[in-house]
Amino acid sequence: MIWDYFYLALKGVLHRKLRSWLTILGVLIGVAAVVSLISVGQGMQTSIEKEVNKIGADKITVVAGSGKFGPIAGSITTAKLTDKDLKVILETKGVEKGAGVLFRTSKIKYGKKIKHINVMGSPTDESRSYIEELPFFQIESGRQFSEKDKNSNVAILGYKIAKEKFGKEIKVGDKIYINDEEFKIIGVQKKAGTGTHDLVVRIPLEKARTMFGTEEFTIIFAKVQKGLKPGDVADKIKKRLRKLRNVEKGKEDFSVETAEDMVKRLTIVLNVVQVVFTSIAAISLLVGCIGIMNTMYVSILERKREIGVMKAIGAKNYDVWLVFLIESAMLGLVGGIIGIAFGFALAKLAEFIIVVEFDVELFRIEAGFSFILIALLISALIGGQASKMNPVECLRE
Amino acid sequence: MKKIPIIRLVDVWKVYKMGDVEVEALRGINLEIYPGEFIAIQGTSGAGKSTTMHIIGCLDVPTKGKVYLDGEDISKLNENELAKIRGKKIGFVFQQFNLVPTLTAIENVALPMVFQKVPNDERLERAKILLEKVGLSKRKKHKPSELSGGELQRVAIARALANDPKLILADEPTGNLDSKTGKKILEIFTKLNEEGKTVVIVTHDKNIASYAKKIIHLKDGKIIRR
Repeated sequence: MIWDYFYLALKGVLHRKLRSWLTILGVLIGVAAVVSLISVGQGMQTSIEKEVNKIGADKITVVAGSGKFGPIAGSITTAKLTDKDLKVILETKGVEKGAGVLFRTSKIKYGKKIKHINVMGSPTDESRSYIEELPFFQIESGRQFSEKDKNSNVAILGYKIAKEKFGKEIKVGDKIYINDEEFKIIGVQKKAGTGTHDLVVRIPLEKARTMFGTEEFTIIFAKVQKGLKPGDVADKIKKRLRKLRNVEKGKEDFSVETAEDMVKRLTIVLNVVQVVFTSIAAISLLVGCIGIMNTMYVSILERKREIGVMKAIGAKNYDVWLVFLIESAMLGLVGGIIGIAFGFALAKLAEFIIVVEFDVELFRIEAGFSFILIALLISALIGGQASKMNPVECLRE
Repeated sequence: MKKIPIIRLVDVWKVYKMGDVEVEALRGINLEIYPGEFIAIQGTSGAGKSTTMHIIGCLDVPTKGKVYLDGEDISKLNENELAKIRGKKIGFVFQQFNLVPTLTAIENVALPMVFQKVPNDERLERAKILLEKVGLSKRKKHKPSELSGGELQRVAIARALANDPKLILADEPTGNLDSKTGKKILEIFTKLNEEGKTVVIVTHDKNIASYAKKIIHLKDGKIIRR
């Protein structure tokens, strides 16, 4: 029997095809926005937490510049970090070990394909042990750098560079060109699960310095001795660097950050992003809901006579309610389900484009499903409105 | 043995509120309709014809007075109880046909049976027979937009008969039809009455009213002549 009501409702939806589709489109956009934006927002958070966790709480990062906005500000500042800074940092009490690295985007050629990829100058001296200990620089095949590689044209590839980036797999022993210089591959890293480390080409630091014509470090990392607070050690490093670089407190041309600081700073930025995303999503949803309400109210007004007739020929309030509920819910459900699929696809697309692992997990479509619940509620209200109409008034229309 | 009227109105008043003004649409109507009668309720516009029809058809309840259907007082029933009675005992035919535009002729005829929970096969079978009865068996798959005025009204009559009601109520059933088609429609009502249905036609047109066996004249919400 319920199928009769579905049939009546479906006929109603199909009778007003264009309007139904436009309503569905409105819902679709709203739900897609919610699912994709919330997925991307939460995915970003997860990915950053994951990356920071991998670095570890006992790590300290030093970059040039005031550092308020991270390495980007560091790269445009005139202040530079050099071997002197590294030495001072390594000699600071409480620092167990550390390393300085240099990053530059370079032209990489393999076969006939050319890509622009981050090249990392990675230490070959004893400080390389710091890098080798980090979980995201582990080797899957081949080997790490050794002291002998200091000035050689050898390279270690991030997982995705080796497996995906150039269409075919690059293996240990293959040759690639970095800024037109030939390099031999001596190692491929294990999958790190973070874009920064899976999409990197490592070459010996000294080689990188010659190639890029600079003596600087982009970042200096330090590991804090067991049992000490990273914050305290970071303060000591700051103090010593101020003295070395001859700057006053508060006017530093460098920044020292612990993992905790980094999480805090990123969380603030992320929260803003999340608020913006959530607001956009909420507005889209609201518009979608209003779309359904508008369509259905217009439909009820147009069909007052039909409602009157249905009642005259024996339809109870419940019957009328059910027909309009189903009709309205159909618009919400079709729009909602397509919207969830679209949102999911959009989030996946964003993941693909920005490379950072967004972790679009299925449970984030909750947002989409809660919309469907809202749509059902609205439908129930609209159905109620239609069913309570007085048959005599309806017939008089 | 005295026959029980299908419908009995006892001193029925209907007062509408239009803003601050109260409009007395019916002012003390007393009326009895017996099984097998063919009655025309005639009056000018605003005489209270439609309101009388709504009350007879259990679409509305009186402000004051009593309405008995098959001897049962229905003037205090709620909307759902009234809907139940309408579905089973009364068939409506309207001036504007009022078919559901999204449904085919046969689906329109079957619609009242949906609300009475008649199984699908039985519904369609009965709708088919009813469409044959009004001479439209060839048009059963057509939508209302594909039918002429006379055909629409015949579908509407078939629909009114769907649940085999005792009483057929027609509100200006020929008002939107040319006189030739209108005549044919009225002949259907006459035939239905001969078959035993009680028919009440509401009209302003005395020629139409002349088809009925009994004419009730309404003016200003009162019966002035029987």
